[in-house]
Amino acid sequence: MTGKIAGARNAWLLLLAISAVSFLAAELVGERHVAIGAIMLIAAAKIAVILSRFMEVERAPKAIGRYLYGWTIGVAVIVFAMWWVAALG
Amino acid sequence: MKNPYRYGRFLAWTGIVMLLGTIVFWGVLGQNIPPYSPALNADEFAAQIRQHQGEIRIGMIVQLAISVMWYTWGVAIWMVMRAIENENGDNDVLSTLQIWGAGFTTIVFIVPCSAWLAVAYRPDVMEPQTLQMVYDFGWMMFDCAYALTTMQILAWGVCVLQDKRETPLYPGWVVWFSMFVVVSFILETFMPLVYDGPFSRSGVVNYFFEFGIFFLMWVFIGIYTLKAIGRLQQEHLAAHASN
Amino acid sequence: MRRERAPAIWIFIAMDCTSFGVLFLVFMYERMGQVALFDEASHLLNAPLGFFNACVLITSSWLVAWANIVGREGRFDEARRLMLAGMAVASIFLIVKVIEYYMKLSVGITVKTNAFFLFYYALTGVHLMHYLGGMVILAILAQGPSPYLPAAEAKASYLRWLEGGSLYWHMVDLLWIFIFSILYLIGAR
Repeated sequence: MTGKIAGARNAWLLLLAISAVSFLAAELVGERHVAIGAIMLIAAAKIAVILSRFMEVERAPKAIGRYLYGWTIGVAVIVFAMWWVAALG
Repeated sequence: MKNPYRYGRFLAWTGIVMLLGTIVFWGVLGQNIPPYSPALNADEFAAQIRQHQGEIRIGMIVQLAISVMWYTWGVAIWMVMRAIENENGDNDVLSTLQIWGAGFTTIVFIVPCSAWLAVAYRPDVMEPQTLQMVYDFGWMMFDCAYALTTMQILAWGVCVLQDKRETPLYPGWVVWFSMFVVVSFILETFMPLVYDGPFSRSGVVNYFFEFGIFFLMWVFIGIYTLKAIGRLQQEHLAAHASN
Repeated sequence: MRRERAPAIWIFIAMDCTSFGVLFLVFMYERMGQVALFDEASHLLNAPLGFFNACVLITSSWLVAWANIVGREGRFDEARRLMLAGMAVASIFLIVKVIEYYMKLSVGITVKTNAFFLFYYALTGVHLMHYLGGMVILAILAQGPSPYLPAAEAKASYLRWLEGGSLYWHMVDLLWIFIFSILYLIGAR
């Protein structure tokens, strides 16, 4: 098994593991804002793993790579912020 | 010397003329920026139509007249596609799909505009519900018959991506952006199911987003079709000068 | 000379992610006006099924990534088999999705039930369209290099499609992660 194949397998195992954490956070964590923060953070982390390990985004034009990472973080942060604002109001 | 691209630049310009005309006549005069919300009740809606009857009529009369230019512009795009197809073994399936898609898209302009013109024809004596129904009919066709345009642009995209020039006639980003636009029309699926909110005909997603990117696509393909025909003419000229 | 055009798929991916991003923001904006309704409605979703489907897509995405790695080394038969495996795993997603839709529709929850379910059907429906398109692409890739082209050309073209198709499939996967988090998890208890 070459290194790249092992790398992809490890990325897969990592993704399954953190998916489970995110799911448990939603079900078990009582503090809602902690749970939502964790869910969105983990979603962004999973997408970052897919972008870097499965899609090998560094092979894409630089601007696109930056944009996709920015998009990932942006969606996670804005969704969390809008959830927070709605919870306050 | 024979010029195989004769009339091409003229036809390419018709697309740009129609684009500008559509903004003024369909958009501004036709009261379509944004259109009347489906959430209005029939009386409120009829009052709006009666108030803007004159502008809508002028807008739709002119829009009906210029809509044929979607097809003539499609012929200009077809010319560019034929050049690429000729270089790649002369299979003309994609250019045929494109040109039929362009012709059908013309109908997607013409029928709804006729409906809206009919709404503005004698709103004073018509029942508000009748006006609303005909107006809705126009929007159902305008938004939900997207597949005709989707076919046109996808056929064009697949064809011009096979252009083997160092600098392609249509840049990759224009092609992929346009294919994304016509694929995203699938969101219009939800338009006939709702009366307000983002997916309604005047909503954030199904009006502002979808029509925003549609017009941008029109601008990009318009500019690059004009450029492509100019380049093909020059290539042809150079090939003959060297012979 | 032909310019390398495969990276252009990245433009499509960036655009598609942008439009889903717009939908997420519109969803969150609509939610602000009716938090209680959105949270209550989201409790009606089956989060374990959504979670299961996320794992299904991640697994299929991994198999496709694997196919890509061996394909680049010229091991096309192995790539073909991995593509088939990726499709087989991914088909579970469709089965679960159909069961989920059936469970919703059979208790009378439709697009018109409320604003939350409009978004539920819109987001998952548009995603499902992407998924179906992706399955077609995987099915084509599972055929291996085209027998109708000269061998060298067929290989080059297969590699381009393998890369582009895989990238598209990973996008289908990563979009589901956000959709699952936003629709199923944010409102969960």
